[in-house]
Amino acid sequence: MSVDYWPWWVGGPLLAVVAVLFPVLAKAPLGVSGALARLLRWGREGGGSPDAGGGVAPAPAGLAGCGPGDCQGGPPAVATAPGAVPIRRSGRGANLVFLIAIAVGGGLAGWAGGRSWGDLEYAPEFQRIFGAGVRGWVVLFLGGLFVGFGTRLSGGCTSGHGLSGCGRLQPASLLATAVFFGVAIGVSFLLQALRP
Amino acid sequence: MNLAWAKTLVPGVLLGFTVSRLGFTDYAELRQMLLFRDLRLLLAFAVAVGLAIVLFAVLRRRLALGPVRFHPGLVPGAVAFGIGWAVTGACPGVVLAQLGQGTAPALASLAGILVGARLAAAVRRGGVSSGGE
Repeated sequence: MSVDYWPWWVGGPLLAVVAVLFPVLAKAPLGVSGALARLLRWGREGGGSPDAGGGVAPAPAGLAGCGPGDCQGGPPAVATAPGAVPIRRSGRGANLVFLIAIAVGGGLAGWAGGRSWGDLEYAPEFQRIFGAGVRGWVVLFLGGLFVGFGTRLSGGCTSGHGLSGCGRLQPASLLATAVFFGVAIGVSFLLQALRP
Repeated sequence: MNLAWAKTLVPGVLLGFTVSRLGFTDYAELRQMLLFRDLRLLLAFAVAVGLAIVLFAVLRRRLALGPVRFHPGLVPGAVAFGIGWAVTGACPGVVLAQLGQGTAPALASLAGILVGARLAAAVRRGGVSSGGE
C-alpha cells in the first residue's frame, strides 16, 4: 500500500474534535446515519406515526431533542409532533450539506494522501474474500442493506453511537457500540476462517 | 436568512477527511483492526472516544444535548449493522468518504444503505414496538 495513513494520535483527537464541534455549530448531536434519516425523512421522526411513541416533545430551537430510536445525527428537519411548532426548516439543507461535505472531505484526503481519484475496483482484500466484478457489487449492496437497516433500526452508527453517544457516556450508545463492534469482529474472524 | 446549512460544512469535511486519512475507508485496514492484527485504528477510536468524553464533560452545559434512549431496535439494529460493517467495510460516513474518493463500488454500498434504511423505516412504522419505542 503506497498510502501513508495517519497515526492514531493524530486522527483520534481529530475525530473527538469533530464529535464536539458538530453540536457546537449545528446544535445537534453528530451522527451520519441520523443525518441521512432526517434528510430522507423516512418514518417521520418526531411523532405522528404509531411507533414513535407519541411522546416526543418538539425540541426548541437550539436543543437537540432525541426521538426514540433516532437520537443521533444532524439538525432535526421539522418537528412533526401534533401541535408542535415546526423548527429548523433549513434542517434538510444542513443535513444534505453535511453528507456532501463528508464526501468532499474524503476526496480531499485522497488527494492529500497521494491517491489518484477514481477506482472501479474495491479493495483487493475484499475481492479475495467475496470475489470481484458484479458479484462484488452484489455483496456490497447486500452488506449495505444490513448497514442501512441496522443503523436506522438502532438509531445510530459509528459516529452517532460510537463517537457522540459514547463520548457523552450514554448507556444506550455504549451498549450499541459494544454490540456492533463485537459483531463486526466476530464476522471478520468468521470470514477469515472461511477464506484464510 | 438561516445559514444553518453552513454550520455542518466544516465538521462534515473534517469528518470525511479524518476517517479517510486514518484509513477507515480502506477495507484492508479496517480488517486489520477488526482482526486485532493492527491496533492503530482501534487506538485511534479509543483515543477519540476518550478525548470526546473529556470535551463533552467540559461542554456539557453549553451543549445541552438530549439523551440517547433505549428502544427495542437498539440492539438488533446494532447486530445487523455490525454484520454489514464487517462485510462491506463501510459505515454510512465511510461510504460517503469513499464516494468522494471516486470508489465506484461504494455506489453499491450506498444503494444498499438507502434501501435498508427505507426497509427499517417501514418496519418501525409497521408497529414493531408497541408504543414508547
